Amino acid sequence: MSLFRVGKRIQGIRFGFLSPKEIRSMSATKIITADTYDDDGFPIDMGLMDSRLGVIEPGLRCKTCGQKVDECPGHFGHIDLAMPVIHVGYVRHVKRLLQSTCRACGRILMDAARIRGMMEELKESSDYGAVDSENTLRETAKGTSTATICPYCGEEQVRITLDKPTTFREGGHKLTPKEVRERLERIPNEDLEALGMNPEVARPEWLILTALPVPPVTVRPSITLESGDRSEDDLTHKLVDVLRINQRLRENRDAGTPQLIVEDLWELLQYHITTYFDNQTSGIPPARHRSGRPLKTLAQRLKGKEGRFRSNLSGKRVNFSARTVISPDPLLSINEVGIPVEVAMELTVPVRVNQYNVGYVRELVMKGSSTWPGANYVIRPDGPRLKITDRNKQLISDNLDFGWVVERHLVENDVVLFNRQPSLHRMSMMAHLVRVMPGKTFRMNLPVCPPYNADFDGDEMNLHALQSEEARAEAKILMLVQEHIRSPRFGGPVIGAIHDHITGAFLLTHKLTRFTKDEAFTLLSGLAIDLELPPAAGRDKFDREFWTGKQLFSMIIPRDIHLTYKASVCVHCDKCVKERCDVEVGVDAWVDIRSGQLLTGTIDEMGIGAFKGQILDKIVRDRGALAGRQFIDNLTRLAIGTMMLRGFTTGIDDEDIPESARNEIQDVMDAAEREVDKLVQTYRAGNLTPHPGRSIEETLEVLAMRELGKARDGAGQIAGRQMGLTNFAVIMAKSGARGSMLNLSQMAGCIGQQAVRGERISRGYADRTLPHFSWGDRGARAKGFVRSSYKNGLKPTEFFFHSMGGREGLVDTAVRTSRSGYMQRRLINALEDLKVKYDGTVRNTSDVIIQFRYGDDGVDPTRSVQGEAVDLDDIFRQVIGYAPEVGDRRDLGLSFASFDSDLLSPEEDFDVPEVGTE
Amino acid sequence: MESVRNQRVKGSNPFRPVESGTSVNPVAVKGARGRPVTFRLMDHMLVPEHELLSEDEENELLSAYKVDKSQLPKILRSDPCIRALEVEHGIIEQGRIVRVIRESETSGRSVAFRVVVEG
Repeated sequence: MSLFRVGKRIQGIRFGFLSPKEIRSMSATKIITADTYDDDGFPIDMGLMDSRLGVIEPGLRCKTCGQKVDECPGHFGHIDLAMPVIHVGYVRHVKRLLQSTCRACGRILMDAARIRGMMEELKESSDYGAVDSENTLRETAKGTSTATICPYCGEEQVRITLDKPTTFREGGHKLTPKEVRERLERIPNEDLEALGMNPEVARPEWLILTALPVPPVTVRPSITLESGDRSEDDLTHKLVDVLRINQRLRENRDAGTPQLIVEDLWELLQYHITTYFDNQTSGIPPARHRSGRPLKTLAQRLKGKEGRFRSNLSGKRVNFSARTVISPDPLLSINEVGIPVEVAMELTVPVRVNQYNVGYVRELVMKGSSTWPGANYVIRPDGPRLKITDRNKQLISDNLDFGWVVERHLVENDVVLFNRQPSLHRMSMMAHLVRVMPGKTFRMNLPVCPPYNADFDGDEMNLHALQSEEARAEAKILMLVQEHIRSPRFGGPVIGAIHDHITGAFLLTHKLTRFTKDEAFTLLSGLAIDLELPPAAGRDKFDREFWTGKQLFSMIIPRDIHLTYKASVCVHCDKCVKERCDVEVGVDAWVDIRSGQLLTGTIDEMGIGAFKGQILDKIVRDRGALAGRQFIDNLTRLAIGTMMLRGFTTGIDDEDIPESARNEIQDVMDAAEREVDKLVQTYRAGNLTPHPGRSIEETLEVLAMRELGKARDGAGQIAGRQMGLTNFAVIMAKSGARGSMLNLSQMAGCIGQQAVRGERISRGYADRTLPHFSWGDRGARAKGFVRSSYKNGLKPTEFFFHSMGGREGLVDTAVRTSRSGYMQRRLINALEDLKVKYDGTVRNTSDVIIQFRYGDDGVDPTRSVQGEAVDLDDIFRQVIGYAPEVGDRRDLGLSFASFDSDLLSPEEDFDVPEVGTE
Repeated sequence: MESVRNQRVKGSNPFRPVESGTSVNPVAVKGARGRPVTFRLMDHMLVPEHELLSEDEENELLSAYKVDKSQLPKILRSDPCIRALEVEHGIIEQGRIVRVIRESETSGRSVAFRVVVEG
């Protein structure tokens, strides 16, 4: 415990202002000349690059502290200003101070009793934590805003206004910073507390600058270009301006130049100092570089996403990382990532030499840094880090001894972190095992695309090589992909089959598909399973043994998995006939898995898909992450194998429908348009009865939308009738692999009503949407109904309406992402250091209890069943068991399923020669 | 610890009737057509149960969670629920602990503890 004791605890922080005295006393030198370097390139004494301000050139020593580059932190200098200048960052405070104090005697414009009352209130609230001093000042200023006469000296007060950004006026008369400073000086120390200031560290007149600190050169280093020219930092440029004008102002003032000219110069100095602090001050033009680029001054260095806080303190650049384009490799495990040899030779892992690995490590060193697998550096126990080159590798390898550290290349099965931005949840950064392979991209298996939200249209991802044994162990146990198959967001899988995997599983398992022994072996040969082929399901008309797809699929399910659910091909009958679904309804949607045997049902998105896969979910829950991973790896290979065996393609002709169906759709459209016209007529005649809570116009819109919606659905149904499960596009839509029946009916039938803000399109020209229509037309076509299909093509007006609807979608996504991004940022910043402790409480960093039991029930949502702590149905099933006659019979599926799978068993029609069977 | 945690939620029925004569300190709010409606605060379905802990219970709690009072969530002395409890228990000093029992979407019943602070 004492190992991790905190050495010092911060008890409090006090903020104050720098007084001119402090500025001068912390200064290493006064800066008087605007010049930086002399002709020989040496810094000029008392110039902006004075060598007492720190060192930026290697080899030199600091004149103030005598240290070298990187040791010397740099030292401040200062500029004595010829005339005082207001600090832009504090104008609001200065304004309040001026407004709440007397112009003559400097006392607060309140009687003593009221001040005392306020102070007491303040003291009371300070018992409960820090006092907001800004708020104190604001309150006092509010309390004095009505005072017209000073209660102490009787002086009549004049209203003070601020002319942004830095000019104060008293009833039209301009106050110079000097006058302002004199007034602030008059405020007595006793009154300051009521103004939210502590006179020891913050006298109000210090808000008006008489000396300007000059930051060390280390803060504003000059850079030498290849041409040998020096280029100065923006801050230095700005300080040069300040010094120049300061010098001119002093000369003019001392020479007794007319007041007007002095005031002009004074204002110019104010401008330069203002922009030196913040070059985006509103009300004044930003100071620009010669090229026209605005200068980056102090505030710009700190502010915003690219500022010091967000980009250098909250976030940092790292070593041992790589980034490149990603591409798919279905033969990798989901735990793996394929990395290019070039990356493997650049990223290293430190290995400490010991008696067991000397031989191996020597070999790596002898390979050198340019052959994989080799090593790039060795670190001697006494410190130095040696680069391994072809010339010294023999020497290094000979000298290698216990305790040395060798930085070897990444090799197979090293643990690395893999990440894709935006990193929105913990699955955005997972640990993978390395597979080094040729090519220049990172390779990943497709089931891990959903958690990263990755696709392969040019996405790039980052990879980090872990550097310590602890980090690797932790990553492997906690962050490995297989540990993230189930999401903590909703207690279901996020990693699972996508696209072709689902189509493939559908083709394999829908109804009864037949595979010869050859085909079965072809499919199973790629899987990591150690099972005998089960007894054949039967013999075909050539008397060849065949196996069903369901049998093959059952081989990758762990033996003790029991599960029933409805597949996504389910048509939602009023009364479910369960296992007789295939025979009676003809869709084979009732999935029944007993003892790991798929008896009935089709495996589709509901079974194995990412986000929805029930089988997947069950396997991970019951058998653990490893079994889940093996299932996904086997499943994807089996599914893709099936697709390659059967063949699968889709094209625009999948949406071809016969002439008769097209005519039927046209009839539906015509009828709907007539119906809408009729509605409009009723409306015009004033006979439309309004719906409760709606105007007559709104009622018309609702009825028209409903009518046209029905028409589109009708068209979709007519088109859908022409496209059965023999249609590849339909297979994808119904199995949940990609696309929807709506997409298909929009291609084949009718696109339907276009909407902007949830309403029919209503704006554009005066009283009409487009000049193609007559004024006041409320018919279907004039209000954005697209009766064409994507396949037949849109009419010009339809195309325009469609673009309007489409644009709204684009704008919505753009707005949504930025808004939700900011919302999430705020949430994360608020909750980032909360932690569930071992006693089940949620606490923050100071061990304050936030929640007495995590989530009230202490359930880890990752291990929950759709958010519930226990799956009661499943427990009942386990306790009660199955009907005894069902038992563990593998051939059970045969008794329920029909054999008329039309498309899916083509080999019946071909005489397939037997190859390679006994 | 279980003894503190697993106690019946007295007011777990959101539609529990207003028991007459039990709790005091009625609250008046504006009802329909501006008519004042009086009800007893602690009986309102949206107000969770508050109970004052005895010294023994306090010690049990603090040692069970290994915390001191500054690490517990807080409740203001001026909170209406504390004022309602004061009717029954007399003045409740800063530093006393109340048990707050509310219905929870996830666990059915959740118990929290709050330390009374000045304000």
